Amino acid sequence: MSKKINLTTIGNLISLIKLNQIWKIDELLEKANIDYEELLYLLTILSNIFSKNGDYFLDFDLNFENNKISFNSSTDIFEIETITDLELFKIYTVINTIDIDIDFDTVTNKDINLFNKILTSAFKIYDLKNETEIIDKNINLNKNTTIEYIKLGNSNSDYYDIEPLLIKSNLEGSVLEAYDLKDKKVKTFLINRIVSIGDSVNKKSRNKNTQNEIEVIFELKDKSLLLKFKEIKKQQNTYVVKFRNKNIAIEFFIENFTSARVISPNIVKVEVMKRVNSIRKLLA
Amino acid sequence: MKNVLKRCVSLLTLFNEKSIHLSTDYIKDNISEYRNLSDTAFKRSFERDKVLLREMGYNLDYIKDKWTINEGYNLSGTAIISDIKKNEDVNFQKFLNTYHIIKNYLNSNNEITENKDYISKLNKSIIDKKRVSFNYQNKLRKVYPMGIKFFNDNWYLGAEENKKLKTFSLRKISNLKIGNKSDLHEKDYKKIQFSWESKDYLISIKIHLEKEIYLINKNVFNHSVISKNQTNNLLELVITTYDVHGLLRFLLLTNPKKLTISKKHKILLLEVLNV
Repeated sequence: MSKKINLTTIGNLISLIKLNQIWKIDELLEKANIDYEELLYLLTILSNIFSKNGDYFLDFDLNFENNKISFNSSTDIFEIETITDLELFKIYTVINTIDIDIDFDTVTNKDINLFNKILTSAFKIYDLKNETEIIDKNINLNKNTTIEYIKLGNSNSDYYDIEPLLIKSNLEGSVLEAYDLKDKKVKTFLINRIVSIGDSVNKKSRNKNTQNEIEVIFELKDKSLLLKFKEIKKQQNTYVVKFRNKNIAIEFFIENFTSARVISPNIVKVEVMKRVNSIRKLLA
Repeated sequence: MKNVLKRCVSLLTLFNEKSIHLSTDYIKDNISEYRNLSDTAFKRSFERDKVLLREMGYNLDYIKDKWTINEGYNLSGTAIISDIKKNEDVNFQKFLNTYHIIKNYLNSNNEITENKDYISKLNKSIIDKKRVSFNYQNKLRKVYPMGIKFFNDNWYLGAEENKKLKTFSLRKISNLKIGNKSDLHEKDYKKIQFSWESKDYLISIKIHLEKEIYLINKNVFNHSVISKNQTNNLLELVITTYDVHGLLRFLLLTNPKKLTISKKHKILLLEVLNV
């Protein structure tokens, strides 16, 4: 199986079965975001459950030739709420904190706004969106496009021809996961570092980044900084962490200058201090 | 794993609008996978399943209230979808369709790692205008929750305590208990302010920097853009913020060509930088 099946996957499938009793198999797989093998696995679990009155919770009939699957569900299935407040909350948070307008072939921007409006009245949340900002980046998640992107640790942009796959939110912020059509591999792009999308992108040749990983030793001033690392080593009073390259390390310690002080390597320490001194001068 | 998932779905089927206050014995008797387990094994499996359900947003809590004779397990955590379903102004099928499509493309891994079950409970208490209690910084707080607020990758609860609106970091809240009575107040705050969001702490700054540099760094701090002028690729911005640490991070990252700020705030920023 290509991915881990969990309770959320089951909940999602039940929710779809509640929508329609008869499905085209490929359409159901696409909507449930699972493959055929995973569908069979889930159906094996669900068809082994008994409802309260002793009936089968779910019975199904697979017809490969006609690409159809029909369900014969007990009333219990309609009584289970499969979409939890937490699930809606997570989606709502991502929609409102990503710095980009999204749409899909089958769902327009208007539909998403309506969906968001319904959730806004359901959750009592303040200040998720900066009211003074106008978002001028729009992406259709079903269409190949070009993005202008400034990599972490850089100040110059590169362009990428991509097939958008997924928008995720992780430790670094909101991320667009996309297939790089030139390099033929899946890459992640921090959404706030995408400068423009589509025809307006200024296509210049992409700089090859040949920098190596770098290990930085630093002194901690604010413990909450540790939450930003997945892997970190402690050496007596100092910490050691690995970065993808020198520029990313420099940018990280510039941003977090008040929380950590670089001890080595010198190449990172000097660049961080250069920036700090430049700001000191501006403020003097 | 197959058995665990089966048990969890079976647990969900046990609870509906009519099935509330279910006893531990009832749960054990009605789920075949639990039935033949010893008491200790059942307890272990049941506790593990409750955690799994909580991960998904279902709260299976034992309700024992001194004012009522009913006690037992209740399932909560799906109030919002139930309310949306009942709302006649909403095309529910369309809402579900949008949900399923969006869900396949949006994935939040950066979810609240602690107190996940509190989101649903607090939101319901806000809507029902109930009083809640929790431990916060070694002190028992009894408050009226008013809203939730997101700031600097953290969630906060805005709540009235002793007639004063205060903000509480969600991750620091523990032992949350929800009161029984609804409609305890008429208040509805349009905005929840952090304690530092008073005029005294407002910083106004004019900066000159490249547009792209602003765009990729603007989210490092909460601010309002008061005015924006663009000449070629250079932006002249007047912004206001209460977030002195965030502003300093932004200045360090963007290294603006020029800035104008009051002497008082320059000193404040330098103090933070030199700590």
